[in-house]
Amino acid sequence: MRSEHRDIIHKDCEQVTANSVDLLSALRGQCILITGGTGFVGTWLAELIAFLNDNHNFNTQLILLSGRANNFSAKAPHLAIRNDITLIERDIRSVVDIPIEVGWIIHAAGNPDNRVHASDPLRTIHVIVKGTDAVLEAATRLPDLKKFLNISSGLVYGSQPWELEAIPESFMGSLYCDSISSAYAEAKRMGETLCAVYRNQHRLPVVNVRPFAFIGPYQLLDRPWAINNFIRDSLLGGPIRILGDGETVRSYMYPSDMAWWLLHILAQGTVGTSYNVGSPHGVTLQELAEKIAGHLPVRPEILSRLSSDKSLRRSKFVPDVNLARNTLGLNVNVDLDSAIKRTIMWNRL
Amino acid sequence: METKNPLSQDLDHILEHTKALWEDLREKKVFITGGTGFFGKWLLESFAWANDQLKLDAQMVVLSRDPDYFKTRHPHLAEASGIRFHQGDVRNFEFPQERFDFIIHAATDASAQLNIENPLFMVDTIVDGTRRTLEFARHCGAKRFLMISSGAVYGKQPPDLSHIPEDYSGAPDPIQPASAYGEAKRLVELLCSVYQKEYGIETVIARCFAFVGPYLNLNIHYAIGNFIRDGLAGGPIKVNGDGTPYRSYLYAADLAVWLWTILFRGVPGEAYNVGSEDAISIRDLAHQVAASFPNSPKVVIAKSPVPGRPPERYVPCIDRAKHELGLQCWISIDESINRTIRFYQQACH
Repeated sequence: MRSEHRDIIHKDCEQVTANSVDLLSALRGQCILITGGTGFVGTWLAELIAFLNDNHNFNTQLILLSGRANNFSAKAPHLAIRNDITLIERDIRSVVDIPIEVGWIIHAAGNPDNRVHASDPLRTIHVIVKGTDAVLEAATRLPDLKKFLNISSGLVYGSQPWELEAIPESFMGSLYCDSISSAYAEAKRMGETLCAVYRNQHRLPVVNVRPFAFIGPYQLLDRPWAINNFIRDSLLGGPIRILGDGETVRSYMYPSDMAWWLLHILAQGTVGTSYNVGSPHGVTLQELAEKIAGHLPVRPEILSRLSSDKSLRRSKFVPDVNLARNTLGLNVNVDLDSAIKRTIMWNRL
Repeated sequence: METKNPLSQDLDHILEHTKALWEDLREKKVFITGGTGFFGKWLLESFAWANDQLKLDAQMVVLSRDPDYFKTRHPHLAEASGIRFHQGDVRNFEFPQERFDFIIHAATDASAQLNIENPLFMVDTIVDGTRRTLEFARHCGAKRFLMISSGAVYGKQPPDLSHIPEDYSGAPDPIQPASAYGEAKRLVELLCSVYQKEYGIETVIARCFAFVGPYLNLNIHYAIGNFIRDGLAGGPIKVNGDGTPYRSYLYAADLAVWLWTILFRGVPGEAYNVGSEDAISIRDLAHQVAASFPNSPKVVIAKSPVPGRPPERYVPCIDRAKHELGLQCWISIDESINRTIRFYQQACH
C-alpha cells in the first residue's frame, strides 16, 4: 500500500466525519470487537476508527477477529501494526470467549461472493448460522455489552419487484426457500432470527443492518458484480461488457459512507430495529457503464448484449433508506460520480 | 384376546386411498424421525396396517429418544410387524448400519410453547436434526426423503390472499423472535434442495397447516384441540382471542394419505401444501365443536374483535396436491370433530 492510497482514505474519513464526530462519542474509550474484521467491511471500520483515534482522540480499542488474520498485514500493514488494533485469528464457528473488556460487537463475518455460495452452499449456510450462534452465545457472557450490530444483507429480501422503486425494511420478502439459489439469503435470514431470539431470551442489545451494494477502495474488482467488472474492464482499456439487461437498476454506496453509517447505527441505532444501508439512488447498468467510461482518459467501448425478453432479465436492487435518514439523520456524502472517480484513482495507483 | 384397533375405520380409509402406492414399499425399508409424535403415530399406524393387510414384508425403523417409554404407552404400535426402534436424538443419532430406501423426517417440536420458552433448542433441533437426517440419507443410500415442513415458512398471510399457494414468495419477518420456527423451517427446506442437487437424493416437501384427529395433543396450543378438551370436560368452550382468525383443518387419516402419496409420488424437489382449503373462523369452529357434544356446552369468547382490522388467516391453496397427486379432503370438518371426540371418549373408558 502506498501513501497515496492512505491519503485517499484519510480524505474520505475527513469528509464523512466533518462536524459530526460527536454523534459517535458513545464509542470513546471503548473496546469494539469486529468479526470478519479483515474483510471489506471490517477494514473500512478499522480505517475510520483509526482516523477517529488519530484526529479526534477517541482512544477506542479495536479487536479484529478473522479466520484469515494473517493476510491482514499484507493487505493493510499500516492498520496491522497499530497499538489500538488487535488481531485474533479464529474460525468464527469456534468462538467461545470474547475478551471481557469488549463493550461493542460488530458481527461482520460472512463471505458475500455468490460464486462461493453456489459452489459450496452447505459451508456457506453452516458458517453463517453456526458462526452467528457462536458469537451471540459468547456475547451473552460479556459483563458490559452495550450493543451488538449484526451485519445481515439486503439479499434477505429476495428479488425486488420491478414495480417497487426501493425496498423498505418492512418489505415482506420475495424469495423461495426451496431454491438452492437462496442459500445465502436464507442463511442470513436465519442469522437475523437468531439475533432476535438472543435479544428476546438473553436481552442482548442487538441492532440489525442490511447492507446493499458498495464500490470503493478495498473492494476487489474480481468480485462477480457489475460495477466491479465494469471498472476492471475499463482499467484494462475496455470494452465494458453489460451482461443481461442494460435497464437493470442498481445503487452503490461509497465505503466511507458505509463505515460512517455502521458506526453511527452502532452508537445510536435502536435495539430490535433493522436498518437498510446503501445508496437510495438507482442507476441503470447502461448509465453506470457510461459514467465509468466518462471517467477514463481514453473512453472505453461499451458492449451490451440485450436479451430479447426484458421483463425476464431486468432486475432492480435499491434500498429505501428513509428509516436511517429520518430517525438517525444519515445521508449519502459521496455521490456515485465521486465514488467512481475515487475507485478508479485507488486502483490505478 | 385380539382387540379391535379403535382406528380401524380410519386405517381402512387410508388404505383405500393409498392402495396403489404400497408396492413401492414391498420388502423395502423406511426410516422415520419424529415417529412418536402426532404425525409419526399416524404414519406408524397406517404403515403397520398396510404392511399387515397387503403382506408387504416392509420394515420401518423409528428414531426415538426413549423407545421404552413409547413401547409402554403404545404397545400395539411397538409390537406391530415390521416396526423397530433406534434409540437416539435427531441432532446427533448414531447411524444405523443398514440401508434404507425411504426417509421420513418428521422430527419437529411444533410447539408454540417451545418457540416461546426455548427457541434456541427448537432451532437446533430443526436445523441440526435435518442436517443429521439428510446426512444419514446420503450415508444409507436412501432414494427418497420426505421433509415435514410447515405453512409457517410463508410468514403472515396477507389479508387479501384467501389461500396461500406454494409459489407465494413472502416470508416471515426475520427480526421477530416469533419467526424462529418459520425461518428454521425455511432453512431446512433449503438444505433439502442442496442435498437433492449435490447428492441426488429425491427430496419432497410437505408444508403442513392445521390438523385434527385422534392422537392430537389436546393440551397444547392448537385451538381445535383445546375446544375438544373443553367439550370433553363438559364445557364451557373457551376462546382465548376474539375468535376472528381463519384456520382450516385436515383430518388425520387424510393427512396420512397425503403424506404417503407425497413420499411415493411427489415430484422430486417440489413442495406441497398439506391441509384443508375450507376456511373456518375460530369462533365458528368453537360453536361447531360445541354442537358436536350432546349437552351443547357454552362458548365463551375472551375478547371482542377490533373494528376495522382484517381477520388473520392461515389457509393453504391445495391445488397442486389435488391436480398433481389427486389428493382430496375426503373427511369433513364435522366428521373429523366427531371421530376425534369419539376416540378420546373411548380412550377414557
